[in-house]
Amino acid sequence: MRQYMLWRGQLLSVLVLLSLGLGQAQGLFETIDVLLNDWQATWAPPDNARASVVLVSNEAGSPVDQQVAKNLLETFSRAGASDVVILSDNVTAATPFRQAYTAFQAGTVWFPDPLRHVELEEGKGRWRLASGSGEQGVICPVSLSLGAYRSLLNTADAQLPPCFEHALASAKGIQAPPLVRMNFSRGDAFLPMLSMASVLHGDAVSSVVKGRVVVLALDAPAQSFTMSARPPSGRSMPHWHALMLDGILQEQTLKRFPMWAGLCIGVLFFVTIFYGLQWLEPLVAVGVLFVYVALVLLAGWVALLQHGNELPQGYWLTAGVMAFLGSEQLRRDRESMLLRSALIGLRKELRLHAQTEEFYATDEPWRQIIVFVNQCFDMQRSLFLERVSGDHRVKEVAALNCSINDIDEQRRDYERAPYSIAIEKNQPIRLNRDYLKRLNETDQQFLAPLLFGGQVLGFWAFSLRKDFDASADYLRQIQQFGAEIGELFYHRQQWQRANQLDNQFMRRLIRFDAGLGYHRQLENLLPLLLKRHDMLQRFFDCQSTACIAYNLFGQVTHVSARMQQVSQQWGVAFFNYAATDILITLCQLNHAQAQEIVRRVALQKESVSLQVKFPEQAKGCVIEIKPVIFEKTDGTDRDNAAPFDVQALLIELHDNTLQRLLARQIGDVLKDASYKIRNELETLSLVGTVLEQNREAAPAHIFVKNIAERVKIIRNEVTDLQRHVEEIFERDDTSLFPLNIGAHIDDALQKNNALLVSRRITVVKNFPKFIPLVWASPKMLADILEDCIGVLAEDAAVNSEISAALTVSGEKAGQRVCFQLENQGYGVPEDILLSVKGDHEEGARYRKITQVHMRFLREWGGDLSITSTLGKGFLISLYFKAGI
Amino acid sequence: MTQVDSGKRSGKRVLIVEDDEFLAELLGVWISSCGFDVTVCNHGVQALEALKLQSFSVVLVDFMMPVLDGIALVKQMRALAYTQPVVILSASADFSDENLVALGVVDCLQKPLDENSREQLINVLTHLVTP
Repeated sequence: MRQYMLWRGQLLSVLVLLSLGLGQAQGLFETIDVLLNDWQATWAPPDNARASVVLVSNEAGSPVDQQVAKNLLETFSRAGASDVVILSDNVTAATPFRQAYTAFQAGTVWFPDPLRHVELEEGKGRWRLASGSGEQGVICPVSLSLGAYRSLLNTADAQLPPCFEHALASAKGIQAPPLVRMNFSRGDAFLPMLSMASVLHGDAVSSVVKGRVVVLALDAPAQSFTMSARPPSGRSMPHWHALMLDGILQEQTLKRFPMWAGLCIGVLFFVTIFYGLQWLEPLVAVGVLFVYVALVLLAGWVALLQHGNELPQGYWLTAGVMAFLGSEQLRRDRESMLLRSALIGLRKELRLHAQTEEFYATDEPWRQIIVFVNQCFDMQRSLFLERVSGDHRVKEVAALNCSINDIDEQRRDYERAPYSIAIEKNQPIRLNRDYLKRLNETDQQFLAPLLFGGQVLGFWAFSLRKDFDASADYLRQIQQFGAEIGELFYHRQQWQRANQLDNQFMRRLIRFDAGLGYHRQLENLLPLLLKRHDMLQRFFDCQSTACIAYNLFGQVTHVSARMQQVSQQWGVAFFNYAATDILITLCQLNHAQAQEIVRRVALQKESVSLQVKFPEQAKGCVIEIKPVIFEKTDGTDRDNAAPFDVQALLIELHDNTLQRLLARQIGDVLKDASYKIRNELETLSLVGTVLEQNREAAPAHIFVKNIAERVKIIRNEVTDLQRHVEEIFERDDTSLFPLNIGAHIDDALQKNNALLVSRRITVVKNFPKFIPLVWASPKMLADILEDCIGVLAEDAAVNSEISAALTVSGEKAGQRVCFQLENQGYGVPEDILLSVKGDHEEGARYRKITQVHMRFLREWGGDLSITSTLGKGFLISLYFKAGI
Repeated sequence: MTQVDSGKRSGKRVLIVEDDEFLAELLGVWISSCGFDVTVCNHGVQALEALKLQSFSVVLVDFMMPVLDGIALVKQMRALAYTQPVVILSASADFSDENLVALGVVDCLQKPLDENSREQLINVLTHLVTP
């Protein structure tokens, strides 16, 4: 089937091509050709060529006797006419000329007879003319073809005497083809015409007649046949014969384009267009077709005017249009095949993943609602009642943790209590009397309406354990859930209704939609597909890991929202980077190292993790580059052929700042503790040395006592170390860390250094030997210290001092660290310092300290106090809970 | 302030300023056992008083001390025109610090004092007190 679909377009095209060729051979397109030629002839410029023929007509219809005939022939002879053709529909009308034809000395007098006067020559089986003087021929009847008298058939081939045009041309050595066509593009203005009267009168006959064939029309115009065809003004029969004679003598009749050449060119056009248009977009293809049509018409016009050639335009144009249609058919076949396979795949895929459709289409939606509810609420029993369609009754449809028959209440009419009360209140109502069947233990029973847009869609009856705190907040959540479920069911109803209508045959017929199954399916599936894609995109974006995906050629195929955020934060446009560039930039690798890593991932399918090198020590990030491997196909399906298993590279950035911070903290704790322990051990070692060197001098009792103390200190240190490490790992608030406040104070001073230097302020630090680590959030602590030092520096007098003192109070677990900052400055009144609202503009700078920073310190188990004395300056005390 | 004599009255007088009393005493005993006359102080103010009372060949100062830390002590010594060479004992001080050199700190030994450091300390003291 698939193969047939694949070749159907081509097969059809070949058939069409053969049919067209046959049609052309049979003259099927002749009508189109002549019509086109007639139309093109109207666009011809006037022909100024000298005519070979002059038409003399007896416009007055005067009778011609022998004397007149003699005069005329003598006049023509004198004027130098090459031949004279006596043309009349009436055979006897030419008799005077027959008697006087010797008066014409210059050439030949022709007496063509109407064909009806031809007689069969007895015994010879051929036709002959009735009279026998002078050169003869027949006046062939001209048949009307497609509204124009255009063809002249030489009768000679039919064993008849030749028509006079052929006979005359033959006498002049010109062989015309048996069938000649009038070339209308020459017009008829170029043919000189005289009246018989003016000839007899002798008016300038010589200049007109000399060297030309004179066609003398004896019949009055009224008797002659007037043609209504090309040009539209019409012309008489003698006029037509004169034009035809001139065309033959000047070899200006129409020539047919050789049939085989026309066929070959047509095939060439067909094949070129058929294959060429497949490369183009449909709209462009239509444009190309129009250009082709215009070119064929132009070629036909040029051939007609320049060479009197009649091109098979009809055949060529039809071939072009059919090739276009064929290529479009092929395109449609391919699309439809693709559509079909896509639809099959999509339907399969969406059936698995598109939950919404599944929910809308399923016969048991309540089962899904039950699962949904059970995930969120811990209820003793849950029962759902659905409204009976078109009725004001409800029926129980699903139950959780109980039987569907657990409703004790007999009434199911939602216009009556308790349903009507629940609807009226539009919230879960507590049921005072037993609605659900009584259990061994008493419970709290509720009934929540499922409404949407004022419609009752069902009810949700549930019970909670007696001791469960059914707070207002909890019931509000139930109400919200009920509203969501109501909406879900409303949309399900709408979907089912629309689906039902769509599937009604008559309805489809009315919409002229009888067999567009695939398109309708596609129409239904596409929104689901988009929803699915959107959902996957959201899943991808919800990942806390920043991801960027590359195809094998290094082009970015996807950037997660988190990665875009990281790009902005770091000021690095990752989506403009190739995978190697990212490695070079973030991990400070050289090009060769980066290439080696990408090669390992792409070819050896390994995942590689590298630490990102940040200028800031506190930040930590691991970059993981891993292959996205697709399932290998059997390789026979051309469309799925994939020489590489790895189809994409995924780069993920894992923020391990927390882990790094933890490692640093543990490192700090270990460093601190090991220093203390080593100090004590070295002291003990020194004791040993002293005792060894100078046993007598050494006060042994003091040594022994101190040794015991030092051992105790070491033991305590080890215990503390263990406690601190546990504290670090087991703390609840992961945003807090035991921090080295001394280092943070130094950083804050550094950040305010420019201000301190400009005001020549000296900071006098008074820190104890060992400062315990304090619990705080690193970023907030940095902000707090920077702000506090900033306020003091701004307020301090030039050339003054700021005292920064750290003191430790309390013992072990209850230890507090106080950082006190005092300046020698100007201070502010208390009302400004403590202004909570925005009454004082000056107070805004302190408000952050007195409100925001104070709140944070209190959350960390510490405190903050700020006082100011006019003329003295500020005193800020920050209290921290000591960590380690 | 504690006086720890070597018993030999060598005239090689060393002032030890260390806030850890036991360590200070221990150092005093050990250094005196190496032939120096040692005076032990537990903070900077005490050390300045000791300097007023007698002269020392070399001052051994702990870097981190309460009341008056090592650097502050050395600064005050220089301010009071005490020119004795100073050796710093520190857990963190770096002798490459130009300020220390400018203040006449001749050496800086890392704490805790292991066997090598102790040997180095005796060498430094010996070198400094030898005319």
